[in-house]
Amino acid sequence: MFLEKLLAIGMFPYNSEASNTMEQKRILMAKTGLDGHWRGPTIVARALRDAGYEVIMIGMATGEEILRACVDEDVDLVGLNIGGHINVALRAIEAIKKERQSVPIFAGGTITPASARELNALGVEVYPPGSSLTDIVEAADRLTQRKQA
Amino acid sequence: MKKERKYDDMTSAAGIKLKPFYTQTDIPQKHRNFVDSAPGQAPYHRGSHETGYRTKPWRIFQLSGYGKPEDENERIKFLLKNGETGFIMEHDRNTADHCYNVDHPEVLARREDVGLTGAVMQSVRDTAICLDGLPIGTSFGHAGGAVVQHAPFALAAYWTVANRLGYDLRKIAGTGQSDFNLTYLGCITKQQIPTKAGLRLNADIIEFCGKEMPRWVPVSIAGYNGADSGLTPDQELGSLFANAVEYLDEIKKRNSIPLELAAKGCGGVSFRASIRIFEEAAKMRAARLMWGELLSKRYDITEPKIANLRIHCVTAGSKMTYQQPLNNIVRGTLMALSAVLGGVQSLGVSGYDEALSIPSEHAHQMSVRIQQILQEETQLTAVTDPLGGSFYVETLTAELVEKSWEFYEEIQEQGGYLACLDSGWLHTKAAENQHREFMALEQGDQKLVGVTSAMEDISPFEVEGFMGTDDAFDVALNRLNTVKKERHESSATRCLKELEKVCLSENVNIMPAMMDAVAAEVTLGEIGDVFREAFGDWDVPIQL
Amino acid sequence: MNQDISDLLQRALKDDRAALARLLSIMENNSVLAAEIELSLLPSMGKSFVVGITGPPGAGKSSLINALIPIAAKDFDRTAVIAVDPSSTFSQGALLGDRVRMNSYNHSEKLFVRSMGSRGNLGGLARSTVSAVSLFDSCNWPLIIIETLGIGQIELEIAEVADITVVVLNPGWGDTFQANKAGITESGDIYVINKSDRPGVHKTRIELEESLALIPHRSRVPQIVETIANTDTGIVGLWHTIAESLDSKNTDLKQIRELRQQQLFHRLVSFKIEQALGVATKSSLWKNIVSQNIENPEDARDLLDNLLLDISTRLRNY
Ligand code: B12
Ligand SMILES: Nc1nc2c(ncn2[C@@H]2O[C@H](COP(=O)(O)OP(=O)(O)O)[C@@H](O)[C@H]2O)c(=O)[nH]1
Ligand SMILES: [Mg+2]
Repeated sequence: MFLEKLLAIGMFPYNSEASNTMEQKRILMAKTGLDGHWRGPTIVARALRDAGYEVIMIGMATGEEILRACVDEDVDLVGLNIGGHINVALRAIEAIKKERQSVPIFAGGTITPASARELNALGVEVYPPGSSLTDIVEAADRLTQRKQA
Repeated sequence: MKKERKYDDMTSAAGIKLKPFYTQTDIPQKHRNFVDSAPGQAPYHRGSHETGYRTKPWRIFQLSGYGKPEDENERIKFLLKNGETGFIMEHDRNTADHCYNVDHPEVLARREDVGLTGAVMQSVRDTAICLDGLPIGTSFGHAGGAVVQHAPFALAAYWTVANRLGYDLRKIAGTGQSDFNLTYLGCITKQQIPTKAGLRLNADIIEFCGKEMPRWVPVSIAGYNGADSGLTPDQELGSLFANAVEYLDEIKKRNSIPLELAAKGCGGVSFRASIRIFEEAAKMRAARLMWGELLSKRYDITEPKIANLRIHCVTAGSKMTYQQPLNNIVRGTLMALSAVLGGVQSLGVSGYDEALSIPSEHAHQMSVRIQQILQEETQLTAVTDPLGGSFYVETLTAELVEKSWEFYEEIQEQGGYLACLDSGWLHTKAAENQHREFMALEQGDQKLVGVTSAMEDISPFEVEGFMGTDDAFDVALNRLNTVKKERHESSATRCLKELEKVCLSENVNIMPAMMDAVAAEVTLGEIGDVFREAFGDWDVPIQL
Repeated sequence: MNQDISDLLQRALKDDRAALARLLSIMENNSVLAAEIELSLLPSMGKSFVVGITGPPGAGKSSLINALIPIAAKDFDRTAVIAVDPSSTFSQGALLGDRVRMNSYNHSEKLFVRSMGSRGNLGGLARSTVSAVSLFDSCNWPLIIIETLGIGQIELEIAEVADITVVVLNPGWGDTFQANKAGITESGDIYVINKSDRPGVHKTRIELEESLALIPHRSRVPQIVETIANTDTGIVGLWHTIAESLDSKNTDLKQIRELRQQQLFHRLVSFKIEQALGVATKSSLWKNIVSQNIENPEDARDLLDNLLLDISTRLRNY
């Protein structure tokens, strides 16, 4: 293939440290429920934006839609605002785990302690009401392994 | 370095600078003349009647419901047995707010959510189950229908059931909500009819009640929904009256019922009672004063029975914390106190598990108990407007009135309340406040006990939240299929066609056709389809 | 790394969405790699049509794309959408919300929506939008729709990338965008008056016609289409107009391809020069420019020659 030829003649001479790199992490933000509460997810999205993330907002979305966005947008982290039953979120989470295993997921919203435990067991970090934005941004940094400035 | 809490820099939620103490001269001159008035008289800030709670204690009125209609029925009966003095029906968000049946793809994709925060009622049969054995004739009933496009169906179903049970519609008392703040500002649904169509539906309801149901509060503007979405107390007031004016102007234009009737109808509102006690009490007082002023200045209505605002209050859900939930019992009590000091007619106290789930039975019972303690033990009910004459509270009242009118004027400059919803102007205000409030917590300028300070918790009680039932969806799907099979299909079709026609015509009231459709067992989703076809979609002005 | 990219490319060309998505990120994050990837794609490029949708924020670009997608599906097997939104100049972060509006075909395999932050690029596109086009093109996405930033300023960049540029305006546009009229009216092949459910459509059309008439050297006068995106009104007509324009260019598919090839090489070369310059300016020769004693024009010319020599050596050594 053409590419291999290029490789052979050394056409990929640059390393990624060149000044033309601008690594930016991308986070998907979705609501799993059909309830309209927007305060929480928008406040979190803005905090992430202000911390330098590109946040792809898809609003209320089904598991299928969340998965599609997660793949096509090649996000580094999926954020779920869960406003309803945990099982609805679990469908999205299972789908993601199946197709894009390595993408970390974190969640917030109205989540009972029991549901939070269930999510934790699946490796999903939970930020319930009252969580600080600093903690949430720190979690994003850690989960996306973003280089600390 | 430790941040110093500046002694001279304390402002109220409305941004009013608070002095360390107040004297008589702080009360603005104009307001000083009002201080000596009696409750029940203009300018009304002192309360709606002289004997106040002695003759009419506030109504204990709790939002309740989940699951199947029979689950909701059971919870309402539980509350009534425990001392609630009115009842509120709550509908499932997925179906009701979107006017979808459970077989709609968006609902199917989230079937476990169905019934989580309200009962599923897709046809009048479901409403009948929910209302079974409830004191429709003797209690003030709330039919639900908080979201604008859902209200006509919710109301028609309630009335149809009441009618079938033999109640005279002219005699039953109650309300729906059909609130713009909730629908277009607070909780934006996936799909909603545009504000203009919403205004028409609400005006239709007001008109219909004006003619047929004199004791019913047709729509109930909920300042609560604006406030808990971020609006400050002055903004809560200013936007509420700007909203009322949209309704009243529309009714005036239609000229089909006496404006007084509509004014009376719109004068049953709800506010949020939040945690800053004196400001919140002052807000209720300011609200009454402003309503009287608005009606007399803009519509020349001065009859005290109409110009006297009636207030339902709900304690601020957003002040209830997930952490150390028992603290919320204290918060609920204090917020309830602020409402009672402000002289409200009706009150709901948020459950201590508010941030975890809808209320458990016990949390609900506690909300009722708090109110009972306030009514029975504290002698709060003895004297009307106990804060009247307080230099501080009178000054706050006057300043809130002024600030709120300023916000009202700002809204008018933006083209009115509806225009502010369509453009996102009001959302931006709310979002700015939310952000500021949150940053104050984040940076430690505002403390939240159990959340940002005093974190140790040795409570022996596990609060786990309430998960409801898990058969709401299945039962609803079965019932939907059954009603479609059993109903008189040709009359259902005919009624639906008629409703469609009425929706498309601009000056026919939709309520009679809605009543017919509901009686013919047309389902919620079918009505939603007609609305969507006739009215189209609202453009959400903000990025969610 | 290099092997990884080569693997990803192989997979993407075999229609692996995740690989395609990953490559898009790599190109966004690293423009050097983007350029090299593009170069390697050259043999497989030049099969797609690119439609640019530009216009001020809120004009309804995303809504129009959403409405167009199902109709375009009749003519094109699959559609890729690249939607650009502004990045914050303070944090470099961004809220990307166009995808929400494009939900009519949301989970169809035949649609690929990709959101991009502008990442400091000023011309209305993101830094790597053009590279993304090359990739979609090579991976057999026959129709590529680009939604530009829509900062309301002149966005001529899109006209260079797109085969057809659609400019979206609203009734009353003339009142609010006076200053930008010239720029807007220069860049479009098709003009859409969206939100024509609002008053002032006729006036806007006349104003637009007048402004368009002022532009000389037009081979054909752009068409004006009225639409209401959220009720699907006028959308079939709009697609028809777009398809017609594309058809008229179809005969020149070869030409388009050649043009793209030329543009790509121009881009790569200027990119390399920029890069070489970037490195060069850090060398002592360039740093010392300030301290050079220049007494006559010859000295200046000599210095310039030296610098050019330095650059060309650097370029050759790459
Ligand atoms: C404010 C509020 C409203 C406002 C809406 C405000 C708005 N614009 O969003 C109003 C008054 C309009 C409202 C209406 C309703 N509400 Co409400 N509301 C609340 C309340 C009191 C606070 C929510 C809030 O905004 N908090 C502030 C934000 C910043 O916090 P947050 O959303 O929790 O987000 C934080 C974390 O959770 C986390 N987080 C959130 N999302 C994400 C995402 C990620 C990725 C991460 C990492 C973190 C994260 O970070 C945030 C910062 O700490 C809660 C109860 C409570 N105290 O939590 C009920 C609550 C959410 N509402 C509820 C209900 C039932 C309703 C109504 C149905 C009531 C009614 N009958 O009208 C309607 C909804 C109608 C509809 N169509 O949807 C229920 C939901 C129950 C459930 N899911 O089981 C709750 C829990 C109250 C209750 N106990 O009944 N509501
Ligand atoms: N009234 C009306 N509103 C529209 C129309 N097209 C789009 N909108 C609304 O205009 C707003 C902005 O649309 P969007 O597609 O996001 O604009 P963009 O910023 O150009 O992509 C949204 O609220 C749309 O619903 C239209 O034809 N008529
Ligand atoms: Mg857009």
